[in-house]
Amino acid sequence: MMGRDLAARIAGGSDAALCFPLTPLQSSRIRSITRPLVECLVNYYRSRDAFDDFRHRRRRAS
Amino acid sequence: MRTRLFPLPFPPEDPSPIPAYFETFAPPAPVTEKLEGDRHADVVIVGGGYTGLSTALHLAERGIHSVVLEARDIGWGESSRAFGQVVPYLKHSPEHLARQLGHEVAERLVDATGRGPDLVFGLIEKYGIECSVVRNGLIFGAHSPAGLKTLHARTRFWQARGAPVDMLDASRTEALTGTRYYHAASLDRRGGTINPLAYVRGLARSAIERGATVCARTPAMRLMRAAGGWRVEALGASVVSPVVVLATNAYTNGEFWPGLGETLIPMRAYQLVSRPLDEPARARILRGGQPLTDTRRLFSGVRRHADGRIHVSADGPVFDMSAEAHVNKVNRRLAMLFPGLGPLEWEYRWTGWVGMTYDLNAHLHELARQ
Repeated sequence: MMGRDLAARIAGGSDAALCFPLTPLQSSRIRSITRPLVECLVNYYRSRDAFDDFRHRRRRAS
Repeated sequence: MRTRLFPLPFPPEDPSPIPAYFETFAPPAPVTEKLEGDRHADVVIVGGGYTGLSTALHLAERGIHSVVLEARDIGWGESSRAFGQVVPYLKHSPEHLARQLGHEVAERLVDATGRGPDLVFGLIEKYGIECSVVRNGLIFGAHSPAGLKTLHARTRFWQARGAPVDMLDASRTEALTGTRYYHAASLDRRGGTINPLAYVRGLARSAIERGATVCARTPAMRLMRAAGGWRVEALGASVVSPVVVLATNAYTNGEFWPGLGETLIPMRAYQLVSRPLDEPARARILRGGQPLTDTRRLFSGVRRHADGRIHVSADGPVFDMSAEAHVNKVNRRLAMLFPGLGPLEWEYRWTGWVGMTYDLNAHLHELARQ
């Protein structure tokens, strides 16, 4: 999709026709702590998935 | 800029090879050119993955000549290492996108994404790309009550738009997948599977046949303004063009365009492919041929290839440059889904880098005007 969009824009298409809107280049204010933040978030997701599996097994057993 | 305290990985330095398993079934990479001297092009594209090569192909269809510079081999990055599903969804729901982007923009994006598989399968058909294509739908299992609610809402949303998406009850889900784990699932017939390496090579071949110049193993080193637009230097040669497209995603070299790398979070993804299943297991597991994912938050993909191998997306260390998938976790999950399957021997393993963004949306930036 992005390749088709880019080609159309380069060929003179309007910004309004793009599926992906043009967005400004912005660095994130949390860039310097991205690594620990994402690691925490992934661990949180892992624990939520594990908890869902546990509840699933318990529902099945009952 | 790479931070010192918590440095993020730098994927361009990752030497891990293109997946040998996909290589087995992919046509050879097309012959590419060596960049020599000082050339001119209508467009220079940095990055020979899906986005760069699709851009080159669509430009060639319009009679616009492009030069594609790929630092390694065609599809070196995530384009050749993906799970291989063609999906009509984005990370966020349509409602979330409408809140983020506004109704009109979100509507255009969601509509185009819903027709995304038509675009991919259309290109495959139009250009005769041999990439083990199977288009018989995607199955999403509901792994929890909340997941079931999400699936119902998504199914209703697409059904209202006339898309071929249906809910499956537990017995129908079991009939297609061989697992009793899910109370319900959805079947989206728009999607399917491909060999991602074969597809990206097919894009390259098609673009070359229609006049694009593709240069593999040609790392772009510098980008600077020049008479006539921009000059991209690579391996002692250069290309001048009024337009430059940077399509390197997770493998972006942050020094090539200041600030661009800082919009991306490179995260490692893992894939495992087993030895072929025996005949009874093949007849039972994923017999409908659709790939199975579910509503959990991380790594749920399972597909069965035509040669009877199970292929899973796996969890593992997120940022390590040299890391192994959590294989025990994969085995536990498969035992939960398919009791009696027994431990699988994982014959192929590979990793790659996915370019996440801070809002989990894909972004298109206009970095400068001439």
